[in-house]
Amino acid sequence: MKKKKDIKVLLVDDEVEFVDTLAQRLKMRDLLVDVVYNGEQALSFIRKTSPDVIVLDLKMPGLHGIEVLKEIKKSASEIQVIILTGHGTDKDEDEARRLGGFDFLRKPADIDLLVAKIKEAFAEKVERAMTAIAFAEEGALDTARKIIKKEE
Amino acid sequence: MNLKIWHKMIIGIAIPSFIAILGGVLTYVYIKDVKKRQGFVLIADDLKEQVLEVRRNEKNFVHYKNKEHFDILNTEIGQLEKNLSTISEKTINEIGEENFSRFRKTILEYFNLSNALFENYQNESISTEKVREEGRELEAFAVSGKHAFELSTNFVLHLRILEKNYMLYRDKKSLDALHKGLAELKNLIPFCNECIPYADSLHKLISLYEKSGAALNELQGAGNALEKITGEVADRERQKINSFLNLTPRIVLAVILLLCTLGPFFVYETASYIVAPIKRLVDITKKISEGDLSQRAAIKEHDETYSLAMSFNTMLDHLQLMHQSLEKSIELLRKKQEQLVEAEKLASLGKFAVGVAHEINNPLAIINEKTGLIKDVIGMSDDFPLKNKLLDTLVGISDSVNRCRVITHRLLGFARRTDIPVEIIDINSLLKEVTGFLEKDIFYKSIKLKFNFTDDLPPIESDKIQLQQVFLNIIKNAIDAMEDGVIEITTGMKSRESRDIIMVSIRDTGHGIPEEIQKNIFEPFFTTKQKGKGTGLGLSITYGLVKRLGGNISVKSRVNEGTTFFVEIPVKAEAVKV
Ligand SMILES: Nc1ncnc2c1ncn2[C@@H]1O[C@H](COP(=O)(O)OP(=O)(O)O)[C@@H](O)[C@H]1O
Ligand SMILES: [Mg+2]
Repeated sequence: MKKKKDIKVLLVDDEVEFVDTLAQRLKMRDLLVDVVYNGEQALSFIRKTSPDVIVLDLKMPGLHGIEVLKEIKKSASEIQVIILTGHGTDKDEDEARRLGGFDFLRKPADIDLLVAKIKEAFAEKVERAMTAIAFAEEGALDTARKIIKKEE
Repeated sequence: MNLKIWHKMIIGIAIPSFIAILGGVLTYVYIKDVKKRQGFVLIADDLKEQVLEVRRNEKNFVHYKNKEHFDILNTEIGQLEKNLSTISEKTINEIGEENFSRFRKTILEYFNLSNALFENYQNESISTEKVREEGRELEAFAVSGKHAFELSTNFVLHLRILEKNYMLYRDKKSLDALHKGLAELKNLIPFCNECIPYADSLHKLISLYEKSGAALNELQGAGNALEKITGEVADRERQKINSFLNLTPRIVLAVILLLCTLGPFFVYETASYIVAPIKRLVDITKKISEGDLSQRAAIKEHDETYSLAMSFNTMLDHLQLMHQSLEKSIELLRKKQEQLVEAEKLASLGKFAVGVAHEINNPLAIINEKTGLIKDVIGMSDDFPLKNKLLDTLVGISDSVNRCRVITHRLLGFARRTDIPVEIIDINSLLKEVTGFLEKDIFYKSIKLKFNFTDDLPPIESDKIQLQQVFLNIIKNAIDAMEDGVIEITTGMKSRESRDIIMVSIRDTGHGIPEEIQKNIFEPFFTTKQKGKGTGLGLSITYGLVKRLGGNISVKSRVNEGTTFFVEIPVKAEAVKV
């Protein structure tokens, strides 16, 4: 298992004050944190580098969080996504979980809870990657891809 | 009056016509009577003329005193009687039977009297002859001179003159003179036997004359009576004719007056008889149009408007029935609308709450993170004089943020799942579960928990999380309301008849709710609890959820005795969109 410092987290939120402060606090808790302020930026970011976990807000100017989630799951399904929003309804929660979101948290959230969720998400991702690798080494590439894409 | 219209019309027309006809008939009868009376007058006049004829002949007879004129008189009387007998019994009765019997009697009397007079007249002429004869003998005796000297020829002649005068005049003067002469002769009689026959026959004649005079008087009286009777009858009939003639214009006038007054009156009455029921209907329709549907047309069985009134009333019955069912529908609609408005209110309240919660969550998150960051930084830094105090302050801020979060997250909970995910729930085990969440609080407060469950309750098809929320809020409040005591949870069906609605009651022995605030406890943000302890959202959310599940919630409470909440939940949830 990687060290905490090795977990790459991308925060996506239009509320600058919030997301910057949160980034600092997460960094203080030994996470590698990047910040973008809207959905488009998030998508271009993951085209360049691949974070382990994305903490995603829903209601943002431009692309809505759900759309961003869809896009991520399409192009980079191995990235874990935790929704952290002040606007989440039950419907959004159901939708997010259906689309492959790892968890759904509501603002204001406890920092410890968030860190725990990030770690959980990362752990799951790692486990899945390992299994996939095992399958891939045995030549079962299809199965490996399926595992990565959570399509069992 | 129960009359058909045409009866009424006939009365209205017939009565004036009847008056007119009556007037006409009366006039006709009167005029006919007048004609008849004129006939009577003619009869009476005829009779009178004949009586006058008889009287004329009577005068002749009295003048001539002979058989010839007596016969004429008799035939005339016979004629009169004959004419009289031609008059019909009916006419006699109409004119007056009494008149005629008197008339007949008088004629008979007259006839008898004339006979007596004629007889007298005959005696008179015999007697006259005798007087003349005796007179001549006395003359001859006087001339012979064989008597006392007083019986002179002159004296006898003078006596004879007196006798002749009397025969001629037959009046008192000549009679007196004759009596005087006879008295002188009487003086001589003791000396003159020859004087006696003359004096005697003269006396006899005088008495005959007197008798004739009396008989004549009687006859004339009877004659006058006859004249009078006929005159009377004629006069009376004339008078009758006159009075008839006077009456006729009055009758005509009266009839015209009656027609002028009663005619319009009856026509008016008839018109109003005919119009009255229609007017009544009009009045009723007016009242109905003013909204009084209980009005009915008065039904009079003999009226021609009877069937109209009947169908009118049937129409009204239908109208009223329709009106009533309409009112019922409206009432139902109103109730549904109220429910909808309530749901709408809840919905908009929910939307509002969610909106507020969302808007607050973001700044709250910023405060949360900034405070957290400061806490992180200070926590990592070395000790400095106010470090702990600062940290305490920061904890205070975090606690406040948490309080806010509780509120906003509860509000969001209120707006949760609009469509009910249907699960099969056993209410008893759900309540056990909920009390399980609160086990710790119950234990710490040494509260006794009693379950009073009905076993064979039908399973509820509803949203489990929402139902949990409902009872959690209520039981939490019960725990908050006391230090020690009893909470009793009872389950059962709402009514024995139907198995549609489950009733759950939660009774506590807490401090109770004052009556004046019982109506407020379901309002959002209403709380009596200390700051930081209560949000005032628990019961409002419970209320919203129960309503959303199609149920009902009510409360009964007495201060210092306790509180019972009654929750009704339909076995099959009706989804009300909120
Ligand atoms: N079981 C109870 N006994 C006494 N008071 C009660 C009870 N349940 C509710 N109440 C009253 O109703 C108020 C509103 O309750 P609630 O809506 O749950 O808000 P909160 O509990 O946050 O005050 C309470 O503050 C309390 O005064
Ligand atoms: Mg409460």
